[in-house]
Parts: sequence; C-alpha cells; structure tokens
Amino acid sequence: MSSSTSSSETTLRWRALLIALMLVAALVLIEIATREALLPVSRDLDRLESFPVRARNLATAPAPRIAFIGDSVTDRVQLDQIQSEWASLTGNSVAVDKFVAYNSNLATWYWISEQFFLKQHLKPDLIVVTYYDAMGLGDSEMRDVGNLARFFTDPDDRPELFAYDLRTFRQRADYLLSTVSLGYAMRDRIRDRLLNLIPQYQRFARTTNDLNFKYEQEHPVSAAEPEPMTFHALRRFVTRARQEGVRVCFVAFRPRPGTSSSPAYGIRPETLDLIAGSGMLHLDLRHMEELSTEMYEDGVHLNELGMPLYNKRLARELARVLRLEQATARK
Amino acid sequence: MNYNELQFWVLFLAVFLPYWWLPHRKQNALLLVASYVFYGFWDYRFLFLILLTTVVDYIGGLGVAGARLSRVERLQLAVLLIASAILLTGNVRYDELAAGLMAGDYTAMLGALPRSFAEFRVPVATAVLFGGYMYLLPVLYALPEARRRKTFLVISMVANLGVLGFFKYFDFFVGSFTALLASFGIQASTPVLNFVLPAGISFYTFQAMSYTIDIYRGKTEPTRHFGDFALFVCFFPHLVAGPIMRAHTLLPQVVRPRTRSAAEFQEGLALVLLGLFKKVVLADNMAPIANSVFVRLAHGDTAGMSGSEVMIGIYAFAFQIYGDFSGYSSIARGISKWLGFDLVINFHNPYLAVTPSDFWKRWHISLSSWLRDYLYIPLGGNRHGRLVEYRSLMFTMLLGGLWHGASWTFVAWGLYHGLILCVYRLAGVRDADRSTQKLRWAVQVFVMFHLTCLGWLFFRAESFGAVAAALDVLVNQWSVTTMAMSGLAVIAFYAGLLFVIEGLTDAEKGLRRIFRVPWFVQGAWYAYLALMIGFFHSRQTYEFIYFQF
Repeated sequence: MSSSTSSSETTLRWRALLIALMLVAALVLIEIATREALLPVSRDLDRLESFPVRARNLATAPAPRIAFIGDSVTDRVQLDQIQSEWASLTGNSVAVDKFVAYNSNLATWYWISEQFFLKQHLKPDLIVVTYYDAMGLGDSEMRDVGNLARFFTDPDDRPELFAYDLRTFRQRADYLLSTVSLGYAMRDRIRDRLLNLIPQYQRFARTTNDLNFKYEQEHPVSAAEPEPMTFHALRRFVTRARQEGVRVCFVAFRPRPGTSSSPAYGIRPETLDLIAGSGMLHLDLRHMEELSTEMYEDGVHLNELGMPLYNKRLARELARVLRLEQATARK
Repeated sequence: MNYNELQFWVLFLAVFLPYWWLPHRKQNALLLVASYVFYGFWDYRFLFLILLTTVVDYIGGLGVAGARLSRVERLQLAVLLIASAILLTGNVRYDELAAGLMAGDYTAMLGALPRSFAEFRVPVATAVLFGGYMYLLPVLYALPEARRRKTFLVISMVANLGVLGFFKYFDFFVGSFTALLASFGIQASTPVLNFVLPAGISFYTFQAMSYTIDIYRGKTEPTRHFGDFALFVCFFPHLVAGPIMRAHTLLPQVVRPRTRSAAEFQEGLALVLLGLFKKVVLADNMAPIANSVFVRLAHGDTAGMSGSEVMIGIYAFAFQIYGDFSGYSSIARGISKWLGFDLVINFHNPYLAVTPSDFWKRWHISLSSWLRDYLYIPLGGNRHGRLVEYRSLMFTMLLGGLWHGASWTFVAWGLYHGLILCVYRLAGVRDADRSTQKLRWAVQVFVMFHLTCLGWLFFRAESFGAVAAALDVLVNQWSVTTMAMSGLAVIAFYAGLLFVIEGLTDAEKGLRRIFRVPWFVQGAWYAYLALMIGFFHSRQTYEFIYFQF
C-alpha cells in the first residue's frame, strides 16, 4: 500500500515537473516571439525605442526647440503643420518633435521628460504637455506600467516610483515583471494584435470604452465622497524642470464640444498657481470655438478637419509665448 | 481583500506555510484567526456581528440537542455575546480611537467613544437583551424536551433572520412601504438606516441556520467546541460568497484531523487556476461589454441601438456572472483542498441545462439545494398536488430572488424563474438525453440558455424601466450590426475554449479527468489558463458580484 502510494506520488512529481517545464517553455516562446516577431513590426515600440536619439537630436538642434510630450491627443499634433505655420508667422524655422506614449497620463509624461531630457541635462526651449479633462493635471493611477518599466525608467528610479507612482502591490509586481519580461510588459499589445483579427474590433472596443467612460463621468457609481485631488506629479514635474532650467507649457485642450457653451471641464486654481509659481506656462485652449463637433473622431481626438485648425492655433500661441519669453529674458 | 488581489495570496501564503506543520487543534486556531483577519479587512466592525451570530447559534444548537452549558461556560459566552453586542451597536469611532491610541492622545480617544446618553441606548438595550437570554438559559433548559427544542430553534431562527432582515431588508421594505403610501397620496416620514451591507451576510446566515435546523431534524450532531463551531461559520475560503456548506458536510472536516495529499493539492491548483481564469479573464473582460449596454438602457439612451447589441450585452452579462461567481467558488474549493477541506461543487455547466429545474441543479447548487430542503419541501413540495407544488415553487423562487438583493428587480427575477419552472412542469417537458437525443438536447439547451438570459435581464437591470427599454429595443429595433458581431466574437474568444473544456470534463465533477490525459495535454491546458491569466487579464479589476449579497 505504502509503496504504491509512494510510486504514484513519484509519478505525480515527474508529471508536475514536466508540466512546469512546459509552462516555462511557453513563457520563453512568448518572450522570443515578442522580441523577434512583435518588436520589429510594431511602429509603436519602434517609436518608443527611438526616443533617446530623437531627444538628443532635438536638444542639439538650433533654437527654438519644442518637445511635445503626451498621449494619443498629442499624437494629433502635426509637426510639419506646426513648422510651416511657425515659419509663416516668424520667418524662422523651429525644431520640433513629439514623444507620444498611448494610454498614459501626467505621471508618465513626467517620466518621459525626466528620462530623455532632464536627467540627461538636455534642454529644449519648451516642453509642451497637453491635457483634456479635469483630472489631467491631478494625480491618477499609473496606466502604462509596461512602458514605464521598459522604456521610461531605470532601476535607480524605483524608490521614487514605488513611493509616488506605483502604490499598490499589483502595480509594483506588474512593474518588476515587466522589467524582466518584454512579453509581459507588452501584453496589452499582444492582446490587441490578437483581438484585432476580429473584424471591426477596434471600433467595438473604442465604442464600448467611450460609452462606459461617458456614463462613469456623468453618473459616478460610487456614492462615497471622492478622494481629494492631489498634484504630486505636477509639483514634481515643474520642480524638476525648474531645476534643469527647462520651460514646460501645459495646454488645456478642447474636447468635443457638447450642447452647453461652458467648457467641458474646470481647471483648479491651485494648479494654475503651482504652474505660474514655478515659472512654467499654461495655455487655455478650452474655448477654441473654431473646433466644432464634426472635427472630432471621438470625445477627444481630432480628425483631418480639426487637426490643421488646431495645429495652426497651437503654433501661433506657442510662438507668442516664446516671443514673450524672449522679450522678458532680454529685459 | 479578494482572491483577485495579490494581498490575499500573501495572507494565504502566511497561513499555508506553517499550516501543515501544526497539529490539528492549532491548525483550527490558525484558520480561525486568519478567517477573522480576512473578514476584518472588509469591515472589522462586522466581525462582532459574525461573533454574535456564532454565539447565538452555538448556544441554540446545543440547546436543541439537549446539551447544557455549565455556569462557567455560560458566563464566558455571556461576556462574549454582550461585548460583541456593545461593540457592534455602540457608536464607537474606531478609526479615531486607533489614531488616538497610536498618538497617545487620550482626549482624542475619549472623543471617539459615545458622547451622549442617546448614543448608549441601543448598545445598552442590546446588551440587556442578550444578557437576559443568557440569564434565562437554565430556565429554557428545564422546559419539556419538545418545547425546549422548538424554543431554541425559534430563538436561533429569529436571531439569524432578524440580523439578515435588519441589515439587508429594513431600508428596502420601509422604502417600498413609504412609496406605497405615497401612491395613495399619504406622505409618511419613515426612518432609513443606510447601513453598509455586511459582506457575505446572506451566505453565513444561511449556513448558520442550517446547522440549528439540521440538529433539530436529527441530521447532525452539535459540537461542544466553540472554536470549531466558530471556524465552521467563518471559514475564510467561502465566507463571503459561498458555497453555502451544511453542518453535516463541513463540521466533521473541522472537527477531525485532516490529511495532506499530493492529489488533493494538484486538484486544488487546477481549481484555483480555473477560478482565476473565470474571474480575471472571462468575467472582468465581459464586464465592460455588459456595462456599456446596461448603462444605456438605465438612462433610456436607446436611440440607434439595435436588438442584437442588447442581446450581446445580455450574453456578456450571462458569461460575466457565470465567470465571476463560479470563479469564486472554484478558487474557494481549490484553496480549501490545499488546506485539507472539501467544499461542495457549486456549478455544473449551468448553460448546458435543458430545463429550468435542470438549471437549478447546476447553478449555485448550494443555495438551490438549501432552498429545496429548508423551504420548498417544508412548504409541501410536490407531495400535495399540483397547486401546492406550484405555490411552493413560486414562493421558494420569490424568496430566492429576494435573497440575492433587496430590490424589486431581484424579486421579479425570482418570480420569473418560478414561472418558467411551473410552465415547464405544466407542459411536462422532460430533460433530453444528451447521448441519444442530440438534436432535441441541443434545441433544449439553446432555448433554456435564452430563457436564462431573459432572466439575467431582470437581474442586471437597474430598474423595470431599463428592462422595458431592453425589451422594446429587442422587439422593435432588431437588426444584426457589425458591432454586435464583433461583440459576439470577443465573447467567443474569452469564453469559447473554457466552455469546450468544461463540456468535455463535465466541469468540476470530472476535473480529475484532466490528470489522466497525457502530461502534455494537461500541460497545454495549464499553460492556456496561466498565460491567459497573465496576459489577458482585464485592465480593470471588478469586485466579485456576489459579495454584495
């Protein structure tokens, strides 16, 4: 009896070992597939990998130099339109580049500027950060932990990251796993690539998310008192930029206008005080009336009609801001 | 603290690592402490409620069986009962008390205690009530046997149902009564308590009730060991969302020493992986699809919506609630196996049911069997003619609906299931045999699945207006859109393979089959579950739906 039990337990152990090895093999296979198959064809990853070189090129180009840092809303900034509008306004050229990380927020934009500019002591004349809702300048949950681990931070950054940005056990575990496995870090992309095989999946996912987001904003489920908004990421951003002598311009973007004439979101006075107090800039484009409903793809993304109008206006505003800056500096 | 949160697994590891090194009694003590810590993470104030229920049912069980407590035992339990009652009902601001204690600020600590006489009224009254009960115990012991048994049973039932009714249904019934009066033009100002619902109250109350009833019926023996009974009530793997365990199944596992085996550990691992997959991959990825449809229905925003899109929303919810609830049950069973316990199977391929009665033998089995044994059969069951049978069915399902939540939509859901149970019985529809009547079986499964989905519409909708809006779109705005087809494909992507595997293995009943296939097939199954959990878990985590019940 005991010998048969012991033999079955031994068989069980061997089986468990083989299965564990199979699981490890599957993980290795995913890692190789991500590196060999996903990485070379992903334009997004290619772009993220190019950030260090492009940041250096921008910082060493003749002034003025403007870096646009943000998410998919910032991706609608057309650099050629900005440059041509700038040239027609000032008669000079401007060096511009954009550093876009999809599904990101202010904390990520801080880390992008830190990793590729501030930490390297590279100084563009202006870093432009665009936000488009009431939470835009406030602290919120870190979204793109995989990118943060692989591209935007170093091991030295972990104490600060774990103290302020990655507060939950799950986020920290996600971050650490992402540092050791590219496949894990890129899991959202892997998922999207697979699900994109479903016809019209992107449209379906976007509509579903938009609907949930819209109703969540309009009718919050929780009756509990919302937690007070904090601005640690913003404070840290402006403090570091000031230390390095880099100007950051925060742009309040106009989301798709509703029926009401009032702006879609409010800006907390303390954020404006914080920005002005640290010598940074703020542009309020929430009232840009020329952007009408049909110029948007969805709630916040401009379409082909809206982009030229917005880019022209942005170029004009940035030129005005920089001219003012230079005039102030000369005085 | 949920199974889908890493903190839970850290706590579990802290329990599991020393567990098998300890002797049986210390294992029980460790599990009891871990269970209270686990529950305390939800809301530590309700620990006193669980303790209260535990003491009342412990005394009740012994009282029904005719076992007397000694004077010292009575005194100890009286202290526990009265202290729990005071701590539960006393308006102590525990956060402030703890902060004051940490800071050594005695003024702040005093400020956290009840301040006025009015604040002492409820705790004092509750303490007097329970103190009186303990004082009268010798009198109750002296009653004639039949009367004594009935008295202790009634006290236990009143206490359990009273707690459940007070915390879960008071506001609902008072609110409904006020609305009824208002419909007659009478404006009444009625008190509303706005209590937070204690997590898992419906589950542990039903479990505790079954203990006393089973002793009364002579189906189980009471335990004299208070710690064992307390562990039976609050065993953490299934505490907040079941399965609801009967005393004759779980209590012996608590009382007797447990054995460890590699096979049980293996089955536990398979169950935990399966459960996590169902929750974080299936349920949480279905939630946004279902929400996007139901939120529009709730706000009457149905312009441009097609019937097929509503249908996809309902399908998504059907798989969400299945993944969510059966996922919890699977994990609960899995980690219980690691601790040497065997919990009952709570789900058995419910969407392969062929008739309503077959569905209730497969869905939330521990609740449906509880309702059958303690409600349907005592109400007459099918022993006194058709009329009694249908009445019993309707009443049982109505209460089953109400058990899920204090809302008229849950009542409607229960009544709907009662109705389809009656209609199927009236029509004499028999379960098709899967092996010999394949086509008939497939048709019955298809019809039953859609009838179940229609029921989920009541269950998920926030109001009857939303139900009406959904039915209106389904009937008057029917068209098959590309959006709906994409949604269907997404559902198939997440649920398809799971259902094929569950169909092949006969769900958890035949889970051991997976251990007898060649190792690489088993490995592929594990790899699929683990990789889907690691790579395809939802970006957003959702709380288990049944925690609110």
